[in-house]
Amino acid sequence: MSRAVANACSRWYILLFSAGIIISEKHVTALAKPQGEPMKLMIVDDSSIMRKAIEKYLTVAGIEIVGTAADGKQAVELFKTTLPDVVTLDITMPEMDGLQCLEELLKIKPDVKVMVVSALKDEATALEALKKGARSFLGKPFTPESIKEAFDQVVAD
Amino acid sequence: MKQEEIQVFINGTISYFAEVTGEKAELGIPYTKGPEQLLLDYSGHIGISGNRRGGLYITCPREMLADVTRKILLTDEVDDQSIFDMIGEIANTIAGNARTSFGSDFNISVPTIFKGKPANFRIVLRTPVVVLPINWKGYQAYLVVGID
Repeated sequence: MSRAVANACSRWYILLFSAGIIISEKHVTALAKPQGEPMKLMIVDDSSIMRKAIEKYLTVAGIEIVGTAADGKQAVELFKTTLPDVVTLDITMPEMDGLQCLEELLKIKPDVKVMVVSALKDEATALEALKKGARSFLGKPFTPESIKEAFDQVVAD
Repeated sequence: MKQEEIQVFINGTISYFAEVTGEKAELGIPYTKGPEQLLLDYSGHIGISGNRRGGLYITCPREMLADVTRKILLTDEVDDQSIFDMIGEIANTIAGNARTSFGSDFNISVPTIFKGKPANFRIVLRTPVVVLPINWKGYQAYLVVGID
């Protein structure tokens, strides 16, 4: 485990390259929002297998899946109507890639928590995603355990 | 491609199957592909651009993909669309992971997936094209890499 420089807001991130996970340093535990409402999650990936797998692995009490999208453009449109609290976001997608999509989502809702989930798990790509405002970066392939762990960290941040 | 670059794809393939399914794949001895067609039931192709050019594809029998899909979705029932989609995801992950070794200017396309042996589809690869035989749970598949 090593520490690396954080985003423009001078936050520190713990880089867990061995597990392909990069997460925020803060860690609290609750999944539901403080008011007791379910946490709204949107899943964005051009692979239907990955959308189904993430949905299956992250379907837990306190989480409501409000939508899934297969590309960045679709994601932005869906985001405007569902305004999720958390988004899992692939990078390599048709129409609009994940990093462009991330910028658009943050313009609409600056406090959305975006967890980038990508096969492009080199350090430069991960840091670029974090600099653009992602809260976490998880490399593919992932296991049910690794995505749950990364997701819990993002939600608790 | 250099020997150590071929090794990146060998390691990536072994690691993919081990992490996703818990069962290791064995890779056979790589060889240079000739003019023969090497397409099984389903194939997923990724184009490469940036600091390297060419592409790669993985080709698998349907039952192998069904087996991997069942493991990922934690279910015994998988539909044809999921099996078809699986081949693209495997290609995307192996190619994307290779960027850790080839650098962030190693750009990958979205996957193109196809069934069987389409007559009109041109697979973009640069010569020499290297074939990596994959054996996973008794299934035979191939990763075919042609990057200059």
